[in-house]
Amino acid sequence: MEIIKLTDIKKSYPMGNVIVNALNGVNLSLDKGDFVAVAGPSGAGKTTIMNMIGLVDQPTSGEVFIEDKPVSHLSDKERTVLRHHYLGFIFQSFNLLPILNVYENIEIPLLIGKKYPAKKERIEWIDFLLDEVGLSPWKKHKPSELSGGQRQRVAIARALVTKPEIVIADEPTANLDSKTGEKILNLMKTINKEQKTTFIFSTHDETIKNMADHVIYLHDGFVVSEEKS
Amino acid sequence: MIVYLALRNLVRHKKRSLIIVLLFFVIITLFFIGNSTLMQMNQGMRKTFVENFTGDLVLKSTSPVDFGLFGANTPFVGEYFAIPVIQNYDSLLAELEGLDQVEATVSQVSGAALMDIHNKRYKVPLFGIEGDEYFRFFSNLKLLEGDLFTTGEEGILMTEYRANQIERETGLRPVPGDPILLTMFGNKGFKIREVPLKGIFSYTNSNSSMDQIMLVDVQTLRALNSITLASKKDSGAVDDLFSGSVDDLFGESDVESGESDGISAESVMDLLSQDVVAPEGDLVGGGWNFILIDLKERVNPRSVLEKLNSFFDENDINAEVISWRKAAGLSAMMVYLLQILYNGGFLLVLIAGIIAIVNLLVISVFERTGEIGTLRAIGASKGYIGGLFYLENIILSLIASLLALALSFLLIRVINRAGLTINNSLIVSLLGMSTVRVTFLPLMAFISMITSVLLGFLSTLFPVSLAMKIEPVTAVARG
Repeated sequence: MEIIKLTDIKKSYPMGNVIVNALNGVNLSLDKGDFVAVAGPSGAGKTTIMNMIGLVDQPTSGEVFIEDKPVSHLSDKERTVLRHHYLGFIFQSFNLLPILNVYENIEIPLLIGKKYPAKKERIEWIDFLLDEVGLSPWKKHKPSELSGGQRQRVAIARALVTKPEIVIADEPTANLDSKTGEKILNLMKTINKEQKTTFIFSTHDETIKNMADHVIYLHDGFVVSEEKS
Repeated sequence: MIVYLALRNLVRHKKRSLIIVLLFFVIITLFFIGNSTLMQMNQGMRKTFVENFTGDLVLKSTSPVDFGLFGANTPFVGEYFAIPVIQNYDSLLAELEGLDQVEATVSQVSGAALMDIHNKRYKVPLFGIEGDEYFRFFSNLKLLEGDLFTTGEEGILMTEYRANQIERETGLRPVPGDPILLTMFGNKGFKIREVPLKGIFSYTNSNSSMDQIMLVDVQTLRALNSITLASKKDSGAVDDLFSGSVDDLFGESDVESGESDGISAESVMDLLSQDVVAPEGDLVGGGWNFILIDLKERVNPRSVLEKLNSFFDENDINAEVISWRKAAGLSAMMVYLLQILYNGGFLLVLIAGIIAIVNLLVISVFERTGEIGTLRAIGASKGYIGGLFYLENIILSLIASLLALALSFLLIRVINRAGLTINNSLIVSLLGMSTVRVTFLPLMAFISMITSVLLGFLSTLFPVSLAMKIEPVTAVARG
């Protein structure tokens, strides 16, 4: 079942007097529950395409469909609500809030909406996620007290806490050593299988992309090839 | 969670939070102490004026010229201005005294004259009164030397300040019985009258305006003002001594030398001793310019003033009631001037403080771009981001205002315990007290806290507008 479709997505940025074309007409179709890798060298347009799917940026032209609904021209408020309920984010630099501990960092997406689950329900769910990512003993620690791999695991738990349909991870292993990176990818893959959550991650690492069900190769803003297992 | 997040952010950025608290603290301390002092000054000044010479309200005749107890409030009225007498005085007085809200009334005639004593001339404001009645009404007045003049008796009372001034300038201390020559120029020409000094009195918490006042028997002032009682034909009123020019009166002579081609002291005395024909003055009932009204405790003067004035308007009565401040004229403007000056200075401090706070918050927004972007990416609305910043700054402003009020409270206690004595008469009259006793005003404390929150909100407007422009894509870029 198709969950995301991109049709002829173009994105240009003004950089001084020059217009940089980051995406030059990308067409994609991603299925629900897939573990998708977007691969390509630096400057290929990986982050730009993740931003389009994650509704944090808007295409210059073309359309993004989520479950057959066009979303490119939604208002900021509508996109915010959609991001909150439908999408989870894992950032390259983890982007944890330094003032909050591990538990609070995971909890925060539940509390920034207008409605949020009861405290007991929240505690049970976050404890479950902490178990899943193996950080139960660290729940009261601040991000600064954790290793890079641990931080990224917190970020994964945070991305999953709202039970999103899609988790978008922009180079989640870029700031980690290869062994830790592999562990993170394995964790994401496990959750993908257990929770049936669609994962879309970008990477330029040839080895980890092999774990994906669907690999999309980008080069100079074009999709040059796709592999589905 | 937003409150928790705001508090955690404030703790994390301790230095910046402390600087902002300090700035708010300075602003609110100045606001609270300044306005409390000015409010107290206003109340003190009211007490000084109301209890010494204005009463709570003053009834007077209507006039196109704005005037009070000292005459026209406008410095230049273009021509000689005679304070009009109250028409239908008897019936108005009866009306006033019949009101439940009114405790007491006393009537007065006002004028200004040149006073000659011990070969020295002074320009003085004169209040024509019935001695006993006036001193009963203003129980704060203290007779230091001599006696009051009784009804029908001629005489004048001067302030202790004036007596000291005369002693200082002439080497002779005025004593009861000294003759005083009063000269007044009015619409009927010049009037001169000699009255004996009956006594020396003092006001409580006097000021420079009050120090000048001379209390004279009302008949003398009526005569000088050319006011004639309709029922008291030829009762001691003085004819126009000179209807000629000012030079004719003063000429080369003065009362000091007694030798001139114009008028001599002897000729004046001769004229004064003669029975004279009543002038063509305003033939009216009571021959009074003002009725001073003392209201009962807890009666709102404004409400009485408004009710009386609308009654006079509706019944086409030529009378109006004015507040003590208006009655005191320019002399009561001091607190207003101080307020304007203080608030002008405060405004400058406020602007500087707000600019500094806004700058700190703008820097904070730029430093926290990653955090804002992350929150936006994981589903925080722009309103949530704005709310977070507003909350942080309002918490700081509230902390600062509480600290400012606590410090002010302590300062007030210290000042009150110290029992500072004020020697400057202007400050004494402004504060209405000679020993400093400052009151912590709960209303002003409340206003200060509201002001603080409002400033916290206003100073966050621009930084929040910047924060709300940060797109989630920035978080991805900045991390």
